[in-house]
Amino acid sequence: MDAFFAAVEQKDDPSLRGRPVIVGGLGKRGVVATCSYEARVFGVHSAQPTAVARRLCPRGVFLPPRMRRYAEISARIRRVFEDFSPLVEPLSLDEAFLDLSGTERLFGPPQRAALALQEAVEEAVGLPLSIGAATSKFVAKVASDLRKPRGLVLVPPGSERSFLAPLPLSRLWGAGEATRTRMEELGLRRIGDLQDLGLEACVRHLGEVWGRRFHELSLGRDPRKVSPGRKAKSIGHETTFPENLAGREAQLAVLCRLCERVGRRLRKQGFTCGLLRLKLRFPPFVTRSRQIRLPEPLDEDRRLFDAAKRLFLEACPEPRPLRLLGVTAADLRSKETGRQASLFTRRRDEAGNRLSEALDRIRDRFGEDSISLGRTGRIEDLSEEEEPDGAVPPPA
Amino acid sequence: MKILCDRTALCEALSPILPAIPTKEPPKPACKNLHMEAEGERLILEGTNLELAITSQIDSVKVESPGEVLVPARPFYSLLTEINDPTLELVLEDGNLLVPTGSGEYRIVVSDADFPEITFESEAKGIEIPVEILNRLFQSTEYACAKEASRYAMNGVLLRIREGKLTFVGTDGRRLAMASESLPEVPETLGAEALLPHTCLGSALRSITSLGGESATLFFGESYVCFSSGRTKVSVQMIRGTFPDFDSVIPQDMSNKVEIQKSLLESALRRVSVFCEDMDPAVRIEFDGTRAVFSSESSEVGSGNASVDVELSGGGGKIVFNPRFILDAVKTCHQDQVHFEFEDGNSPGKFLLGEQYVYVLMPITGKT
Repeated sequence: MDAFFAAVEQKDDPSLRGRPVIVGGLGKRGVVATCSYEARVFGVHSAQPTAVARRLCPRGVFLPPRMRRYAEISARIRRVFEDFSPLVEPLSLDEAFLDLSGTERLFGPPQRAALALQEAVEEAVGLPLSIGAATSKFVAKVASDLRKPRGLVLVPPGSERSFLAPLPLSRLWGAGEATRTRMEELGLRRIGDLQDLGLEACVRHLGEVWGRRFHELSLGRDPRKVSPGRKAKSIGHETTFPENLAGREAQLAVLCRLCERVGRRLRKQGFTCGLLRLKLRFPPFVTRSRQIRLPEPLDEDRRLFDAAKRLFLEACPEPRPLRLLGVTAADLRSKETGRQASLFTRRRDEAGNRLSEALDRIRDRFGEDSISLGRTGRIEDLSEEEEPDGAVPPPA
Repeated sequence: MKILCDRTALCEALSPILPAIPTKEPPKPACKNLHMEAEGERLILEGTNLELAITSQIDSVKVESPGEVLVPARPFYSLLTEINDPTLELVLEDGNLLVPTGSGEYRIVVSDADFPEITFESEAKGIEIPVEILNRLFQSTEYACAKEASRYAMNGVLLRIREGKLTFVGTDGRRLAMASESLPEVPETLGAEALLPHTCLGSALRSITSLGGESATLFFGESYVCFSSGRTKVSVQMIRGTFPDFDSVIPQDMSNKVEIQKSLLESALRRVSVFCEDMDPAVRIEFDGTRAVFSSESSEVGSGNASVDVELSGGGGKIVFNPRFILDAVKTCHQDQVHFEFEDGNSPGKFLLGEQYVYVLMPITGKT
């Protein structure tokens, strides 16, 4: 999707259309998550400190991310994708790989299928989409980034080499800064230079594994298949406080809210978790994490909070200010594998389950922030985390 | 302190104390040590890990000067077992315990740590119980205790005396094992109950068993349960906490009753367990007519089913269990036949593994 978070904001609030919209953390320590094309003109880009973006684009509209909303739209886009192919591999909220092989009779040649897909997505969610079509995941991803917004770049079989040759080395997957410096020292500038260098020299200079890998990629060869079976390995939420948060009650209140969010997503996705992880960051920048194996797989807010609270009190027995607090549920098990029943259903547990279900129903109807447990605190800058299996290295 | 004593007697008195000496990090530094006190003609030995305390004594010791001393228990025991002299002299001198022998002289550093005060409750209310029964009841229930520290009251084995019976109960919330034995000598009016940490209870019984006596005296104190046999006394601290109301979860009168041969049950479970998911092992058991079919499948290994002849009374049905939970229990069954009862796939199953040995297991529900 093109400038996804900003595009959603502009779609939801028509007064923002045509204006520079910057979505990200708004606190002192915030960074830009996405910005609209209008803002990019001013030199604003993602991962930039928000303070810098404000200087570059003083007239910009700065908004906090609404992850729930983005996830909601992302799910709708995904359903459109699934109409086109059973093999859909989401890469993030706004990117996915689709394997369209074998769908020619249904959707026609790649160009026609891609146009139909763009149209279907625009119709379903009213947002622009760029598509790259190629014989491998790597080339398709590079092609999709080439002509945004509303781009459509086709790389026909056999033309991968000439397509990639003029592009800068930064487009290569897995080539970090150190690798690129090394390549530049070798006098390489473009992907074509890597193609010309040949396999043997690549291996000599860059090592057996990476040399071979980069040489293959430079020729557009990427054996990785589109695998929809990427199961979530963990579900987590963390929040960075704009000002260090002191006071045990306030910290526990935020912890409770994080547990509610994690519990909500666990239930929504039909998981229970066997492991709970707590992440704490103390000023200036000391990060601690702790985890606990739960006595039985859980998905209920209050019991998640009970466990998180115990970890929390262990991790900081003396009250001290916090910079960041995060809760992650791991060792996820699908509820379809069944649930070990309990001999003694504690009344508290049963009440907790009923409470969670009731809260879920209210949130389904009136929105995520419509109701929460009494002790919860407000969370400003929220991020979501979902660790996929065998994540594809992000493009450099 | 200066004493002369028989080496074998000292070894025999010290050995049953070792189960109380922590092998890993002790809760207090003093707990690594053996406490010895010589007075009159006796030598009293004590060891503790704070939850479990064991004491023993040797009579007819020649005490030349009384006193007490704290020495590292395990090294001291190792030394004693390697010395051949029939009589030993132990002398406290300049912060060392001197052990002069015919073939060498040894100096053991004496600890000056504070050894915890141990009180062993009176034996007045003691009940005589064969050691074999204590061990059997423990083995029949210990495996069902919660191993996670988070369920404090369930980490224990409940000991109960009621209506002339001694009962042990262990549960982790998913399964419950209850084993009893009638004690003809015990008046029916006597009642007592205590929850003991399962690891300490295990150590206590190891200590008592190592003495070789046929029976031990059991008595319930205020905060301890004590076992004694001969000159050795073992005291286990009770867990404070509420044990769940287990009587109410043992189901009665269920519609399906199954007789199954123990060896066939174990073998079928082991075979289909090969096809269980590591994280969530589950075996489906379907009872129909004269057969039980055990089946399981995993995405990585494949699927399998095994069928076993059974005697069934009732309409039959399907139930899913964690096979490990059945195997744990059946392993401790000393009969050839296992009697199993269940209502349906959502209610507990009940195994009768002995005359007075019941095992209740909750099924896995909602498996598709």
